[in-house]
Amino acid sequence: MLSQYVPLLWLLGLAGAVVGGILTATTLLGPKKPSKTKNAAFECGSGSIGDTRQRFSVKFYMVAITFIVFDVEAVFVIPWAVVSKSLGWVGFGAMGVFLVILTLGLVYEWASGGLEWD
Amino acid sequence: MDFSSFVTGTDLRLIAPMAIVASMGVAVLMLEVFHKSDASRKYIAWMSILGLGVAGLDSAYLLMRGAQHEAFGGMLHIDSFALVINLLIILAGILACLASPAYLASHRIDRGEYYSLLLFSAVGMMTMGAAADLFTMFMGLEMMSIPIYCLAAFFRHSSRSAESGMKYFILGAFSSAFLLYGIALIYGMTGTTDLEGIRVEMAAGGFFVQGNPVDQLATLPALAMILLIVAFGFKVAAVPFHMWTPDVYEGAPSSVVSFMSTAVKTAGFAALVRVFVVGFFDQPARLSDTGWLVVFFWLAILSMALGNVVAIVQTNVKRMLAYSSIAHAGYLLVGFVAASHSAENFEGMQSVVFYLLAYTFATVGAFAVLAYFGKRGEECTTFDDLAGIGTRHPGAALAMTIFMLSSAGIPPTAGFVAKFYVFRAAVMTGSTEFVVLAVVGVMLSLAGVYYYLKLIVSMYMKTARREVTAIGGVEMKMALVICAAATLFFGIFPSMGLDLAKTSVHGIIGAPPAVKAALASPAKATVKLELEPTAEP
Repeated sequence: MLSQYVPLLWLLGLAGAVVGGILTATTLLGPKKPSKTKNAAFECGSGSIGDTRQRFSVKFYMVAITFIVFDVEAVFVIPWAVVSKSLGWVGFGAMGVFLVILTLGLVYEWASGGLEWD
Repeated sequence: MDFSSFVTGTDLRLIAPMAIVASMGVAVLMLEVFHKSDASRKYIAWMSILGLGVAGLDSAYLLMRGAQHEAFGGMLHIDSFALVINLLIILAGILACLASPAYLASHRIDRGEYYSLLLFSAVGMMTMGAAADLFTMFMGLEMMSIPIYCLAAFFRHSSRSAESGMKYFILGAFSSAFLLYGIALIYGMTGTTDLEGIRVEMAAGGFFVQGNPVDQLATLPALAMILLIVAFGFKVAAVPFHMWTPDVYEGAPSSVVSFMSTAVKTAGFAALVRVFVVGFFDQPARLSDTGWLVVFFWLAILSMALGNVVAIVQTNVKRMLAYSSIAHAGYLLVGFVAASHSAENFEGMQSVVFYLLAYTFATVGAFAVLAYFGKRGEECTTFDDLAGIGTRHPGAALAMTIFMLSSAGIPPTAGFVAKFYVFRAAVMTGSTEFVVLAVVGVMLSLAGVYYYLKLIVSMYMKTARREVTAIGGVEMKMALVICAAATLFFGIFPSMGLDLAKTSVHGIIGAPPAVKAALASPAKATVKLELEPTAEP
């Protein structure tokens, strides 16, 4: 059964061999004439103006977390909505508890200023 | 399909202790958010204590009624073991909440989220104690761990505390991954995550992969169990999964450490009993060369050895207590392996539960004393800082002395009785290896006496280098008095705690039939010591 995947393995090996071969060949055969200009970091022709690693404001994380919370909510609520009839009142109650807890989380975030940008 | 039978009124009644604590956690969060920012948050602490107290009373009520139920279709076992573990966790939670308000206020981190996180974490621990399925176990473990990571980093402006939280979080995430991988392998072999089902599957003709017996793959179950051992070994801080312990304990706020060093260990050992005794008790899972009994045997020796030896050279009391907590994990493992030696010895598991009780009082108390001194982010935690407090703060020093004596296992404290029963369980197995284990344990605990007494010497016989500020606070003093009194009480009258431990051990619903039969028969009164090497695994 697994034998039908063998060509894939061949492809993988071949790709590796080609890439490896070309890189080795250029390293060995290509001419090397380094100069100061050639060795400088290239950034669209202009000099670099600072570190690329910058600190992000925590506000972005707040947005991301809020998004994930409601994303996960959708993951639970939509399947429940599809079968809510057969789940009956027990399912309704369970989903109610879930939504109340989630809403209280939102209240917490809102009241402690997590939704304000400034 | 009728889903209404999945959640019944009985189920909800049985998880009432957890539900109460969880609701109180949400309520506390709401209180905090509508709180005037400069007023005292002492009432939030008392609300948390109220929630934990009601949950504790309910657990005790269920325990006295003899509740032995499966809840949520066998995902949770609300039996006397789960309820006693509930009580231990709630106890640690209440004591930590008592020690917190004055400490948080003096270090200017007085926020209601603290109590909320503590309560959520306690819910996770209770879930672990009651878990009858590997997924419930995993859920409980995560619910316990994530709030604890946040609590470890609760000194928001201290990089030490942030490091502590980050370190714990990253390593903890790794250990969760190990646990999940182990669960996946076990599910692949047995087709179930139910712990009782796993035992039945494994006993019924070895391990199966897609219907084929795989004797040649005996490494697979061993690998799965090793992964689980790594995950739980991390949580209980057993060597060699202990690296995080000193750094995390040192950086985290003392009041948090008082909770996480005790309750997490309690939950971890409850999980060990649930997973390994209920899930993997039968041969060859336990007794083969790659069996878990052998692994835990060596973990116990390593933990006791490293914990006690490295603790000697520490200059920081928090680090010393961290290594001492590693050593305590070793003593607890001695009781655990001794009780798992054979079904007849399972009675010895009560020594683990009693040890956890004694350990909770002494350790919460010791960290509460450390929380008692210092202010504004400066904790007084070195031996030099605590020098001379015997004359200036005699109450706190006396309490600390009692906790240190209990940790060292010196009568008349609870720690002595706990150590006695743990080593007794090892000797009662009658096998030479376990007698050696007990002897090694006793010798290493003698080494431990040195560093516990070093603190007492430092408190009473050295002169103070600098003035330490005592935080005070009624609640803090209550916590210290309760811990000290209970440590002495269970040292002098241990029978109440031992009875509780016995009840808990007798009531594990999913325990193997051999264990249940051995527990039902009258206990052996004599020690059958065989000095000849027996046919041991």
